[in-house]
Amino acid sequence: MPPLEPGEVVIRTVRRHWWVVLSETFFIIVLAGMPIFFYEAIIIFLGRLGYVVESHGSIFLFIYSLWLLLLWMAFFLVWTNYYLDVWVITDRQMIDIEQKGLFHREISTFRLDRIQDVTVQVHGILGTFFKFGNIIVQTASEHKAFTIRDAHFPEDVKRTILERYNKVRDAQPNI
Amino acid sequence: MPIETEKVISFITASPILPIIFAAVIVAYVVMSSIYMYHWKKYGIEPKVIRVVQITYFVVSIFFIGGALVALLTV
Repeated sequence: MPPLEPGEVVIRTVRRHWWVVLSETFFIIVLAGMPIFFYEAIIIFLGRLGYVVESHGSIFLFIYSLWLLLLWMAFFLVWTNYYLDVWVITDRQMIDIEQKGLFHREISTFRLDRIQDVTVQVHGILGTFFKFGNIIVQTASEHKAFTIRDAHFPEDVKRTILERYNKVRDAQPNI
Repeated sequence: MPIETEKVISFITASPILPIIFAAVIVAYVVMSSIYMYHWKKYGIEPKVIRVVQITYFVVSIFFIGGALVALLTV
């Protein structure tokens, strides 16, 4: 859980779109099916060469089970990076948590009253169809711009940010 | 025609290579699972999501490990 101030409320969490994760795991899915294809192909190939090949199902099951276990672990590596890479919008601030691998994590925070501009970028057919895109928040802080890539419903997230910004601004009329 | 594959199969079944492979994968699994558990518990935001993910991860893993173990015992 990101560090919150006493009484601070989480309004929304924002992550990348599931399509992006699916595209990253597509290679894992292909690898999961490859042993079945190659096993059958090798048996057919040796059979055509005239060899009598006995089916060694136990050895294949052993190797394939371990192969799937390794791919299962690889899938959760992708998922963990996806899940822990998140923006947390609270009623006071935004927390940008960037998970860049299992042992590289960066956390940036900026107060909502520091926001200067929120930009949404939706690129391509997939982004338009599945409703994901980049959200860029310009701030008056040292870090200047914060970006979340391939966020789901970026327009909706932008609306939430601006609503919270207006509430903070109304509460502090001297801004 | 000679069955060349029999040599390979007899080597695999006679030598301890399969138990060694199994042990190596299990060690990797334990290490990676510990790292995942640490990250999920320490940095996970939604406890319900984390619980579902943990159950899914371990149940499916046990299924794969069980399959490998049964196959190893019947080779």
